[in-house]
Amino acid sequence: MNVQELISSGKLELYVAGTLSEREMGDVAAYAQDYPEVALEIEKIERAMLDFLSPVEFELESKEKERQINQIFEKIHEQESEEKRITPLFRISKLAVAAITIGLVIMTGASIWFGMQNKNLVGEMAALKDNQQKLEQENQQFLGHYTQMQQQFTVMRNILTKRVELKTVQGSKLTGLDNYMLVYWNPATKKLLLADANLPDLTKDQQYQLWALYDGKPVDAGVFDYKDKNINVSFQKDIPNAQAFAVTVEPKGGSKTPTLSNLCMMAKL
Amino acid sequence: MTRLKARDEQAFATLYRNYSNAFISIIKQIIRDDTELAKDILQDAMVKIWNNIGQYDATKGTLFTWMMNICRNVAIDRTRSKDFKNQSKNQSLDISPESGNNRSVQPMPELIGVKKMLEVLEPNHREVVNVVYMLGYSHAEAAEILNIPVGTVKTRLRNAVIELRKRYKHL
Repeated sequence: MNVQELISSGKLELYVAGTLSEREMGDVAAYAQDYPEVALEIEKIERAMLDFLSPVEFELESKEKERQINQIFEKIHEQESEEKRITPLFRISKLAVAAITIGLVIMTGASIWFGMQNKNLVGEMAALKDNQQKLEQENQQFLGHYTQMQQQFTVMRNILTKRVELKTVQGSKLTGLDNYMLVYWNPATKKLLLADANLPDLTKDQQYQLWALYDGKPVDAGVFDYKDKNINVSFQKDIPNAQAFAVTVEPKGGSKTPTLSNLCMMAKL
Repeated sequence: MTRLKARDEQAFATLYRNYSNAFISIIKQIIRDDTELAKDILQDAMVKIWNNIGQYDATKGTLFTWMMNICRNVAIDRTRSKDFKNQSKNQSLDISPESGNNRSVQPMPELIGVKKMLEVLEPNHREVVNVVYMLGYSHAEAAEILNIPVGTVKTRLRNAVIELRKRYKHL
């Protein structure tokens, strides 16, 4: 489009009216920049419109215009002073927001860290508690053991306590010459302590039973287990009087009277 | 322009002195109300112009056009406000927010002053100046409203301006 065409197209009028598309507005403005005749035409259109839109008969009086101008500046100044008042507050709040944000980030981080630490500690604590319980149990066991040993030792070191070695009875089907048994018996305190033994293993439903013999009568001194060359070192039933001790093999739980055919060990006092 | 961008109050006051009458005519036509409300709207528009003067871009139009657009927009916004609608319901029934057209402003020159002003133009030119210059419709919209081809809008507008230029040369 050449300049004359543009001028007569009616586009410049629309340009002044400000109703062209943004791109077309830019195009016309560029023409105006490059071609003085276009710029002049635009100025003339603007002038004509301005005159047309400002008819003399209802023009604002100069006084009224100045009054309006003052009111406009009052509004502008009021708005500016409001902005000034608002601005520092805004800055403070911006700072505060920043501080709060940082605070929150730190707190969140710390919470997570403490949370993780706590989780670890909970685990560690559970382990420690477990360990402590184990130690306590062990301690109880040791204490029990210690007490038992002390009692056994008290019996053994007593001058009145008799050391009784039981040996295989002649003709025993169950025990041989290498079998032995050791008990301690204190006639004063009546305590009978089973100390050591080397005996053959029994079947599941059998147990050894210890007897004290007095005036030819057997007195039950309690059953005991013997397994894998181990004897459960323990006190048997209290025995007030004894002239001999004997061991029989009995059904599990023991018998009221000894099964003489199963008599295997014996010691006379 | 440099003075304006530097927020020179004297330069700004000169703007008002030069353009206020034209802008008030446009605002009056949009709000279809008397001068008092139009002056108030122009005050708001001027404050907006002052605040946004830095955004004015000469490569997109003249200062007059840019300011005129702001005045139109402020006026149109005001016609959409609740207060304005309540107020104008009592005055005229034809400004209805439910009307099919998105803008509540219809091209109907009713006000005596504006009507008189438009009467200087021959009727064909009058319509197109009213719709495009005063109400700010694009030429495509104007063609639809006036039920004439787009080309005719441009020609009539061009001729209207030529008519005006002849007229005001004598003043």
